[in-house]
Amino acid sequence: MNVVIIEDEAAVARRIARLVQLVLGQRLQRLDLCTNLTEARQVLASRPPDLLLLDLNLNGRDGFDLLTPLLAESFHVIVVSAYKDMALRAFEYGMLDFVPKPVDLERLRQAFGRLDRQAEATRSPVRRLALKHAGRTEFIALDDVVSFHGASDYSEILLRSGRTMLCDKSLDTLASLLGGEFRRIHRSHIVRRADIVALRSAEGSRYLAELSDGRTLVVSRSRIKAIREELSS
Amino acid sequence: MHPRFILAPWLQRVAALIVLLAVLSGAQQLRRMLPGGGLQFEAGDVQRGVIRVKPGDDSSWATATLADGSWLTPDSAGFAAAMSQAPITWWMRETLTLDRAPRPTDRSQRLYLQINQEAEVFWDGIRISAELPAGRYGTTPESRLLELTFPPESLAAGPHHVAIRFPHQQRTRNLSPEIELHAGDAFLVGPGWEVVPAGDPRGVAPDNEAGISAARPAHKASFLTAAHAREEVPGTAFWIRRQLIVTPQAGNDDAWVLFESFKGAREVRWAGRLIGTSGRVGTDRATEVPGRARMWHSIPAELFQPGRHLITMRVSSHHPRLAGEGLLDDFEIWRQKEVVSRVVRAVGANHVQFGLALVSAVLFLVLYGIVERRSTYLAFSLCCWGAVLSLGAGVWWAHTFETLLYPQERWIVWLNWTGSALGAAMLVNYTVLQLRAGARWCWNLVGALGIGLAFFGTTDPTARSAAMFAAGAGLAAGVGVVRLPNAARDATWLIIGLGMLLITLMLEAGEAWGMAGLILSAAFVLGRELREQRLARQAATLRNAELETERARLEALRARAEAELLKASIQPHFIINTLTALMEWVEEDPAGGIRFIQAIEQHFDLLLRCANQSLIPITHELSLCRAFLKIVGFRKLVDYTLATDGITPEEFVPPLLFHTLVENGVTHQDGHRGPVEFRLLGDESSECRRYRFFAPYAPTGSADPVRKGRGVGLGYARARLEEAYPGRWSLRSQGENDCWVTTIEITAAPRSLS
Repeated sequence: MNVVIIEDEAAVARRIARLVQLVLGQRLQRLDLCTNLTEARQVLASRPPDLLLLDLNLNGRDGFDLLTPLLAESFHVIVVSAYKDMALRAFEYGMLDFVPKPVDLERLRQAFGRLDRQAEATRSPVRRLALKHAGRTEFIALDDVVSFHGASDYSEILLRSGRTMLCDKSLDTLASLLGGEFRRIHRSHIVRRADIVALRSAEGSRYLAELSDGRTLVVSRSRIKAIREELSS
Repeated sequence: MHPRFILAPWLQRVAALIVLLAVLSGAQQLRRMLPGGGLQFEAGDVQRGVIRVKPGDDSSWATATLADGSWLTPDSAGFAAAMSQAPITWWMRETLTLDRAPRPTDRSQRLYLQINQEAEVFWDGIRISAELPAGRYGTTPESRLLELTFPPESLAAGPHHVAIRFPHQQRTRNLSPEIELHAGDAFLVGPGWEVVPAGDPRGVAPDNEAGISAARPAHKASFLTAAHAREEVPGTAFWIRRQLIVTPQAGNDDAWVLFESFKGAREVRWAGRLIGTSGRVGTDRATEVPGRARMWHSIPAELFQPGRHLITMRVSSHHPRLAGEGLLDDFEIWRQKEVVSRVVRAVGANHVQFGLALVSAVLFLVLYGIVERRSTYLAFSLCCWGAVLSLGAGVWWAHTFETLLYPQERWIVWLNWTGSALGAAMLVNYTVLQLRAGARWCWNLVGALGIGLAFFGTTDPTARSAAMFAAGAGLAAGVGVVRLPNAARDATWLIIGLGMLLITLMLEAGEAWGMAGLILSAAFVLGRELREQRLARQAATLRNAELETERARLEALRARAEAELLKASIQPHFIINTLTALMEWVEEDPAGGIRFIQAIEQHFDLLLRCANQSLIPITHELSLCRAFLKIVGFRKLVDYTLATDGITPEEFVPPLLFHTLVENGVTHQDGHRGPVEFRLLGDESSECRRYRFFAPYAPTGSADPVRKGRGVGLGYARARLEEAYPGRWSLRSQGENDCWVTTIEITAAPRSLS
């Protein structure tokens, strides 16, 4: 995977880079170090990574405004910062994890561990999703979302209003962020658990889920068993 | 209400003077109308005592004319010829004008004619005296007191004709009888004193007319009226006598004769009987024992019967008296029961006034000595002390009534004069000071001249005191008139007080009460001054309190700025980044890690040592900056240096001033990887000390408000500059050629800590 680190303190950047190499090992394909946002934007535009490690206090600027546009991108963001008070808020906006300074190897490993898994139940729930829309960063409340549908590079978000919005994050990425409220039923669908009314099988060993809004979506074979168990319990 | 005049200043002064004069003349009129004053007579077109004479016979005035109908004057031709005819009676006439009719409040309703020979008097054509025996010749010119019986309603105000018929005096050619009309006191009526040298002190007392004739040497007896009694009298002892008429209203009680100021030794006789002596009469200073200046002599009731009486005294006066003073002022006779109340009234009033002046003098002296050294307080105190001396003379006088010998009396008079002069001079001085009139010494000189003029110009010694005080008060009132348009409201009260004092002096009635009024107005002015002072003090206290709160607020700001910076220096970002970098160093390059730790320790130590001071040596500040740069160098893996030029080691600057700029400069680096050199340049002009800090490789043209200098760091720097150099510093920050330049200017050389 490709990783970009944005950190203005060279010694700290070096440390983070070293630790990332230790954690990822062979999986790490490319590691870019940027010391400022301008340089970082160029890198992110030309070679989008899978993961971004970001220091919130770059060159004395306020961290949160730095963060929110980056959260609308396709990659995960892990914040490495001394400002712990922003962590909770950053989680609500869809940050993958927050690693406080001084950077600890185990903590970093733990953060990387979240990459490929479904979000844990103990994770701070995401409440808002950042989306790129008409050149700006827009936020939608997760409560307004009915379901997520994905293609490879981006996702479609269906809102309660009926509107559909596009998100640069893939469903895999979103699955790591979304909590227990949502369930991935298919490679291309994430729906609310509460919206699943019934599960039934169709011909050709296909499984369908009936949703409360009347739609019927395909459930993947690899997931049907687990979903049945979760619904019955 | 502040008196505002809309007239021009010079016109105001003229108006004020006119008002003053009107007041004074009104006061004069007022004086005339006071009860108790005697009737005033004004002679008509003929000078009193020199009368046109005309031979006449027994017929009435209307028909008495010369053959040709003309009247003769003593210096007209034919007068001597007419005089040589004898026997003949003569007519004299005079026009007298009464200013008013007698009033019940007049001390006497009776009028007496004093004429120096026997005569028959006609008043407006009506005979009002006893009839002359026909053919009677007058003998010697002697003073006669004729009782006149005026018909009712004949004493109306206005002109009246007095005609006198008298027998021709063969012995003398000088026919100019003196005529005076007296409106008499209850007892004291009559012509003046007669004086006859005593010759042999043991000679016969001239209790009657024969006695006078026998005792008289070749000297011509001269009349001593009350006025003339003040003239010098011959050196040896002499007799004086006076006729009195005791009226029926006098009653039957004992009476007392009071001599107010008798400057001699004397033996007093009433109707031939000795009723008292004082001292011993002598022919020179060695033989004379001085008598008391004041004395009462009692007249037994059986002697004090209605009718004509003679009071005779043998006197001498060889001991020192004040120059210009006569033998005695007039004397008075009082009923026994009236004596006490009169004395009490006079003496009591004097003591009250004395007490008031004394208290006021002491009060203002205390104010001057203890409260505030204002020249007005001292001046008014001295003025009151003058009044104290002057009134104190009266107190001394009252308390030495029984014992004071006449030679000592002059000291009392001198005390009175000194007090009046001092009071008058100080009154002018005080008024000039209080009203802030310029040319103080000019006014004082004029005042002294005026007072001196009043002293030497007044012939009557008893009036000198009042004259001096009047001169002083008049000049002070003049100052008030001049300053009236400019006078503040309080000082206007002083001018009013002076005006009242002047009025009482003019009226000669209770000038000491006028002084009391002046003291009151001065007290009023004082009260207002003190009130103004109190208000000013309150305002100053309020200002002080405001300044204190302002100072406390600034102190709080400073403390907060200091705390902010300390917090900023050790805030999590700085510490944690430093520690994170340190972790890397420790793991990868332990030796370097140790050096890193040492740099951190050094920075912290320098920081702690200077955080609570307002100025530190510039060397300390630069060490602090360099220690910081070393830390950041370890963190950012960049070689940071600070070059200086134009800095002298003896300078002082507020702590962390340049450190803040270094921090900002480090934070805003744009990612340049090579060594970075910050520069601090100092230069000095005649007006200010200037520091310029150059932070290279800083992106310019940024709209970031932090770059524009409103971040916490520069706010701290501004607070420290304001604390150390209040109001005389400036800080500007701007980009120049890829460099960020911060310029600090201080308009005076930094203070050195002593």
